[in-house]
Amino acid sequence: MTNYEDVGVYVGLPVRLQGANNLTEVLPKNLSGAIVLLWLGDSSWKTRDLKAMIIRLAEKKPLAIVVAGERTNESFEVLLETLSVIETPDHIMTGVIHHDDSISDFFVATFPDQLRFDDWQEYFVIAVGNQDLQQQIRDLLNKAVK
Amino acid sequence: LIGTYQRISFDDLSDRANAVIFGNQNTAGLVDRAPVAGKAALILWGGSVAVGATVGAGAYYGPAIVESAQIASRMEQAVAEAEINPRTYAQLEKQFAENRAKSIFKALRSSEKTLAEHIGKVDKLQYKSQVEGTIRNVAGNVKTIIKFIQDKGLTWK
Repeated sequence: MTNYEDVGVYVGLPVRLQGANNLTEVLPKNLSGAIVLLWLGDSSWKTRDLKAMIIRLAEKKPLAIVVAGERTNESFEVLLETLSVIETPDHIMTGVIHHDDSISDFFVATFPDQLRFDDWQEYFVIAVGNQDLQQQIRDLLNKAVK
Repeated sequence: LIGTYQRISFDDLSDRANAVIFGNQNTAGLVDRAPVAGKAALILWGGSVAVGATVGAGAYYGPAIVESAQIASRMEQAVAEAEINPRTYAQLEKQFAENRAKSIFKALRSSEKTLAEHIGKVDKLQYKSQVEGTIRNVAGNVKTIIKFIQDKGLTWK
């Protein structure tokens, strides 16, 4: 069953959005060809939930995980710490989009590891928050992509 | 990422280019017009492009743009040691065809920020190989973007 929506295309690659009410609800599909943007819309997220989410994401072998949204300094540290201690067969790139950046920074400057470029098939955005937040992200994406 | 030092010019930029970025006695520069949070990125961006013609010939990450001179030095070293990423170069060709020069300069600025952020965090980690892999790739991307800008003769307008 499809649990994401296509919101556009950036430089020939589909951009997909999956909404989730909280981190524990998120169940990503296969992400082995995806550069993933994890947008944390609720500032009350818990470190243990984010760690668990990152581990679940890593198991899907994405090409990159980029965090954005609320408390990005902390979420970026959690991302790096969590990935540094788990075994991943292929390298996962990391990044962060802060409040003073724009979502287009994600699209113009996030690339896979050079050894994994051939696997690149999509951008996948996971918006964690209420319906309003999900709509805001949808609107931002619609402006940033074709 | 903003320090207390502010660069007022780049020696290897023309007077006109310096005036555009930093202003002169008659007009404010882009740095002055940028929001405070954007100043660091703008200075970083301008610096890289200025030195794009002479990569490796000298320091181009000034203390105004990163947390410390040590990080600036490590950024410079990482880029100098990095290899050009041919796959990234090919992707930049597509990006340029679709979104023109603005997106290439934005990619450079954003990649440099990413590089600084990872270098700033890596020493705190017990196991560093994952982040070191990202640093190698991003440094290669920075070098590749600078080469792309040189090859295409792109100018920031």
